[in-house]
Amino acid sequence: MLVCRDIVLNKGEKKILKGVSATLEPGCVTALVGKNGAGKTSLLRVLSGEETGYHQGDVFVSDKNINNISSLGLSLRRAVLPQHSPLSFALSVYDVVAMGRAPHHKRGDFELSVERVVAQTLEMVGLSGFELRGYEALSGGERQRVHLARVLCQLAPLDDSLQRKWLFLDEPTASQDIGHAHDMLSCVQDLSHRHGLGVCMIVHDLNFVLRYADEMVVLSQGEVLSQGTTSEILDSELLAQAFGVQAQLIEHEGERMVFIKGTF
Amino acid sequence: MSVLPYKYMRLLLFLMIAVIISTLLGLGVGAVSISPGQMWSVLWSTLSGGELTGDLATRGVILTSLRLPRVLLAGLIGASLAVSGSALQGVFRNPLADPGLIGVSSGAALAVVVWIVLGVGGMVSPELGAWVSVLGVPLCAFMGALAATFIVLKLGMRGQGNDVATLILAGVALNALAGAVIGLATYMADEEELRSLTMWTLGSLGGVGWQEIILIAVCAVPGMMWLVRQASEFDLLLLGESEAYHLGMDVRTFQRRVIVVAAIVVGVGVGFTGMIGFVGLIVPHILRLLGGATHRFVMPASVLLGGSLLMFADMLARTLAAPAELPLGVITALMGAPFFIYLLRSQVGVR
Repeated sequence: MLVCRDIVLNKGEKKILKGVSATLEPGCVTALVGKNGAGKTSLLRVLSGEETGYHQGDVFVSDKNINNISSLGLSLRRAVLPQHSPLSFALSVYDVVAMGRAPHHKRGDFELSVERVVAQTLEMVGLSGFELRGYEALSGGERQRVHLARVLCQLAPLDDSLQRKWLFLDEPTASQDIGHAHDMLSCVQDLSHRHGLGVCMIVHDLNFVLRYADEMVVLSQGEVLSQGTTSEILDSELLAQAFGVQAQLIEHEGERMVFIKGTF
Repeated sequence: MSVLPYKYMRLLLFLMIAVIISTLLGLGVGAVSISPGQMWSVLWSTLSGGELTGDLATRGVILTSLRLPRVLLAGLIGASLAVSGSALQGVFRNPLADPGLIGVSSGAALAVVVWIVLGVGGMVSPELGAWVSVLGVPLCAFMGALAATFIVLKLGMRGQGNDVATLILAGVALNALAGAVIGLATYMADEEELRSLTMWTLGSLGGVGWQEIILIAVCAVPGMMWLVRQASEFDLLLLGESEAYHLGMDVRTFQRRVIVVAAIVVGVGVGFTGMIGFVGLIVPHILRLLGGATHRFVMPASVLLGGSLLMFADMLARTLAAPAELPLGVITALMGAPFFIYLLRSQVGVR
């Protein structure tokens, strides 16, 4: 379990998080939802251990304070896919994905065959056989999926040992076409439901949230507006509060969908 | 694929051949030219303890007491500048980072100029005089380099963040300050001081003997080896500082270590030879153009290319205007500056 309690984070005068508490469960996909500037990325950074400059509160990973875990120790149990990886460098796709094994190699763990893990994870993101391509020559969406493969490579072996691991995704579908966006999220959901990986992601498209997130945390102005099981708490009243939109939830062939009629 | 791919091995082999060729050129070309065959005879007789006669004896002396130390020094300085350049570019994730840019070299220069012009060396007691005359300048340079590094670090790495832009700006500010003080010192210097200042700021490998070479090697080689071994860490930093952190790197500690080691590696050498620009800047770029950005290739290749490039440049410095000797820094700047301009142009093109 990954728990944060009463997190207060200020950047200068600005209050980013005003006492946020949230719980992430293993084997479950949790979506962070909210307006731009609501504090989603900051909360994600706090939960993933990257942001440690909060003024109040604690984050616990399996009852251990996250600040007492070294960066190497953390990297063995959680992986992060950041929002933008716009950097360009002359490396092969293989080199980029294989970097996911760096923390394990640093600990002297060479058990998994790097070639095999890279091939497996590239296949999972739909980039089979891309190993020797130049990273520079890829499109934005392909690069993002290369980074997803790198992150999965970091979490490998992709078996039940994932129960103790966490994956953080900041807008993973931002530069994907609709087909690849679905593929990416269902791949992540599958790892979570089948092997127990804990997933926390920021996704803007509420239909993706409905479809792929078991739980959701709705943020508004640095505070938790609501949190719970997606199918239970996501309704038009919440959307009005969180986003200021007139929304309607419609049902089609047993699946619920969000239909936005307009803003208030 | 923890071993280097075939492509990199081939490039490294090619660079090793370049090192051998520049070594032979450096040893052979000069006022007295020495063929590889004659080098072999000298080497053979030295190893077997035989006597050299006549012409060959003269060449033997030239080779062992003049050319060999100089070629070794060129190789050592070139390699250390190039490796530090690659390391700093890697750690700052800035293609323009170079020992000169973040103020390491100008810190060294500033200390040396103060030493020469203000005559601090003369104030030391006479028993220490001999030591001071040998070690004063390099020690000063080294201390200057290290002090500059720490000032830049302190300015650039305040608080939580690890702001590379601030760091580089701090380097620019330090460069400006050092430039002003050096200008002032040049204005105040007498003729003799001026000459030694000029020689130092333009860089030269003349007048450095075996003792100095050993001292430089002892300081620079372990540092270079450490930097080369950090190749995979540098690769992680290519992804970005957050990503490197997510992959388990303690980014700030690593950056500090690299900067200090780079200052040690460059500082001592710069102290003896003066400022030799552009090697640390262009070598990593040439290598990335040749073989891509992997530091597993770039770092070891920097040693080879930096070494051979400076051996070649020093050979030109000795022979182009013979019997006079051109300052080495002028040669490297003449070779490097056009490339730097090309680099800037191509960068603008990309963006």
